[in-house]
Amino acid sequence: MKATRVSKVIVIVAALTLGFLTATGMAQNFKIGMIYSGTGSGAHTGIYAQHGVELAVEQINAQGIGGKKLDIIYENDDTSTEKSVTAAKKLIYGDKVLAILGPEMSSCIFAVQKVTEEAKIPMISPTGSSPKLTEEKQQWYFRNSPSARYQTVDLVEYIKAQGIKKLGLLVDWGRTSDQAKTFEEDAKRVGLTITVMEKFQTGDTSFMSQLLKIKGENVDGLVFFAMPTEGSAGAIQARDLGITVPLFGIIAMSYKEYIEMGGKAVEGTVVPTTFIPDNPDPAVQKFNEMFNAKFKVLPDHAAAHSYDATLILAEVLKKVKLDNKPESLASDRQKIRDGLATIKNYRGVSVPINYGPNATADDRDGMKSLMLVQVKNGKWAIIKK
Amino acid sequence: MFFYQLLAGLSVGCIYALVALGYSLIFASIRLLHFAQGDLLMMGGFFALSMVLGLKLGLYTGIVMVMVAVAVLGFFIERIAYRPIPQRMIAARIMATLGIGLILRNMAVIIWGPQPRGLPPQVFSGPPIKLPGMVIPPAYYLVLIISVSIMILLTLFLGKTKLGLAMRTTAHDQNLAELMGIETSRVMSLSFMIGAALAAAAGMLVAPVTFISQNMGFRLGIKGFAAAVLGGFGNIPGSMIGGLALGLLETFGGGFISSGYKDCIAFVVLILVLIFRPSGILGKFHVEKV
Amino acid sequence: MVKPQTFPMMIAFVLLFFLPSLSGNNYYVLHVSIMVGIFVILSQGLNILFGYAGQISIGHAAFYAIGAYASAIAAHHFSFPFALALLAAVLFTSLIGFLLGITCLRLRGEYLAITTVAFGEIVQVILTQWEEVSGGPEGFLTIPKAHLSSFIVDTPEKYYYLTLVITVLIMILTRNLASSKLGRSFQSVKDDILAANIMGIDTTRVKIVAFVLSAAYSGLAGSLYAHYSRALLPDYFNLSLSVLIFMMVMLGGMGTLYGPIVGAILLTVSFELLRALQVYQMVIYGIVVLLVTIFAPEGLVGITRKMFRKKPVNAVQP
Repeated sequence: MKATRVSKVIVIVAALTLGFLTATGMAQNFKIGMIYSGTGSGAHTGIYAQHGVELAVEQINAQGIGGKKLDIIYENDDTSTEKSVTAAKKLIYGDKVLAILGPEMSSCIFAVQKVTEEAKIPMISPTGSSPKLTEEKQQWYFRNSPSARYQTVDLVEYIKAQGIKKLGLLVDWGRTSDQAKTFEEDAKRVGLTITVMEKFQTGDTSFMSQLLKIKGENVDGLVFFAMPTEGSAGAIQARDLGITVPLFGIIAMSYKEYIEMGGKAVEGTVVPTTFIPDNPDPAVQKFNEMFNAKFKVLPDHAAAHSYDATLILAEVLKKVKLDNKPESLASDRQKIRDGLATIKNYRGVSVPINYGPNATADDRDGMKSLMLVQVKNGKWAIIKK
Repeated sequence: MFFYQLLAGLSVGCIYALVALGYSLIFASIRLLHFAQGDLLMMGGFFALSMVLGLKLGLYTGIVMVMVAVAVLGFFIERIAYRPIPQRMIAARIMATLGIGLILRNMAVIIWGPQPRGLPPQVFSGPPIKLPGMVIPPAYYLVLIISVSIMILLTLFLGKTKLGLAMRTTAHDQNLAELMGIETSRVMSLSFMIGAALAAAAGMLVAPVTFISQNMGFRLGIKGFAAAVLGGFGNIPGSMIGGLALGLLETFGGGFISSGYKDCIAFVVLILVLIFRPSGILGKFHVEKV
Repeated sequence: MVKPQTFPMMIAFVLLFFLPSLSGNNYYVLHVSIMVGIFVILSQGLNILFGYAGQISIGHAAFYAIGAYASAIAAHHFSFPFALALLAAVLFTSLIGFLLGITCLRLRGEYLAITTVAFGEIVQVILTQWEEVSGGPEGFLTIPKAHLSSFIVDTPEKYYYLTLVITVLIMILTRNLASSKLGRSFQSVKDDILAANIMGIDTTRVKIVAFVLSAAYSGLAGSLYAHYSRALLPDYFNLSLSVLIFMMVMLGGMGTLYGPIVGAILLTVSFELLRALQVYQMVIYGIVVLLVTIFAPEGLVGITRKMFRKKPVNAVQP
């Protein structure tokens, strides 16, 4: 009697253990965290970045990665650096994710870097242009967007090639100072003169005083460092004042809203960018279709970058053998980081992406070559790949 | 060039004036510092978007519909969120306005999406006025004409109609108004609704120079407030003057100081006025308790 | 203090002391706890100015920022040890508080509120533009860890205990302040400034002291934050943050000793709990704020007091 009872218990326990092992084995999806600005002033970028990830995850999970799926945990940071940090800590220590996507605003990224460096977990941000993000020996950070350093190089060469010598700059200092600074350095390097630089603040609606100063300096070209709102308003007001010189801008302006708001005034503007929906490349068109079908809007570069970032992460997860157990968290995160470092010439829906093993800007800035686009007949057209 | 700056300054000044009028009207009638006024402006902008894109309305019908829609919204906000709190609890009422602001901004994102949107420029179309030496784009003069019309209508309404008289009496002395048989409760609602409508109009009129986004209300709201203080808080003609003055001050003053600090102009003006002449340019001196 | 209140306090203190081990040293829980502690100090500072002395301020993020940056600059550029940097931050912020207090002497109510908002904006603009001092929009990122002689506060648990100790000290200080002569003169300035003057209270001095103390608290909180996060971005110290601190004081219960604690915990924790709602998070958050304001305009502490009162409350004021 006792023997049968004991053996029954053993069988039940064994069955349960086996069941538990296989169940956890099967349920061991890859947990990844994403921090995005769902509310607050950065919501525009954050929500699109989140959509990009969501679309990628849908695609990836349709096939799975070696029988497992991606579990993404989304956390809103309300465009607050402190809430970004809290979200990061929750994901890292609470949810124990393998890697983190996001955040989007440079200030939030700076703050979260302190956390990820200490926790030794890889972080991929789909936006963020401040050069310092990769220049302080950050070991665990990957920038899946162009640093301000690369954004302005191609533009400066192009401007020089047009025979332009003197430039006027109109800068949203609070948001784009990093790009203005690298632009100045690059311009000096190729022999362009920046005759005047005027500043303004995000949300300003009148640039009359600044533009009049610029007009007085007789520049050959005008460069806006602004968001589409202020950029297009600035363009209109510049044209109203009789400033007829060519206009240039930054990646943040490469939206259709810039053209919609600016109308005729913005025709001919040239900006560097990594993504425009009008890119005839079939991969981009397919991406547009899927994005539009799911979210009823066209994607922007934040969405494109985060989409590519997620797919890159999936590739790494496919290649690298992870134990994916609670005990192996630290080594798993390390393997993912090392795996990301081997990505070379990845072609997604934006520009080619390359990473390397060292904690240098060279190796951790994924996008180094941008394309140039110009407003032609009311649309963005690629003029240099 | 001076003329362009003058026009630009007056244009933006009119926007500030409309916002300032809203603040003053609401403060005069229900003694509420309506922190969410900028967010009502934002709602006006988004409603304008829907009216123009969805209902295909033009500028004039559009602005009327926008003002009516936000006035109705204002009616509910005032009844539900502000009226329940006694007037003497200043801080609690401010909190209520902050809560409403939070709700409005986030509802806007949910309804219209997070992307800043532009009103199609055709809305503000018309023949450009050609003068010797320059061309005035239609956006500038249309904004001026419409906002000045609204201000004239408001002044006539307050000065010449019975309802306007009732509003002024209630604002001046609520008890007296009740003794005279005025239904102060309805009058106060109406005042708030008009204040909301003014903000909404500003929201649509600012469209030629900015995108409509959930955060547009803060900057414009604060500047409108500074304008109201400058002209005399609670004072109707004062708010108009204050608005225009601030617009001109900002446009011309930006040439003198580093443009990065230009925004500070409105805030510094605000603080200076509050310290040295709290009644503003036209206001009656507010008897402060020590 | 009424005796029944000390027993739950002691339990609370024991729980707080063992929090790190109870949570399994979960850095997320520790982080939220440290931030709650810092917000308690910040809210208590505003409470002194606003809850006790009746001066409305919706610009307190500015003092927080000034304290944080002052401490960071002292520690990084002048190599001050932590305790000294903290002291420098407190003193410098108090000085600014003094200046603001003088500026705002004749202002009351809504006018004062708006001036403080303007002050907050000006400070934020200066921090963003004055790069040589603050590091500009890209932030001040080179802040040394807090250390007390050779003891480095380098783990979240250590920082948690540091914050806990300072917060408790601040609470004790505030309790003594509230029941002191100065505290009572705050109350009289808030209630009826004319009567206070007649009674011989130097209301000018009282108001200025309130501003200075309030700024000092905020400077302290700022210093703690600077050496904990070790990353200061001017973006963070905006009007929304000032509004948050204001909400903590209002919702918790202005003019009460424990109000700031209730407010700080309520607003921090509810944001975390509402995470699951994704996009609707902030809308619900706003609705919660609105509802508490309408149904408990004097704050939650006030409401619970009323609930526990045994005698019937007569002649409720309209």
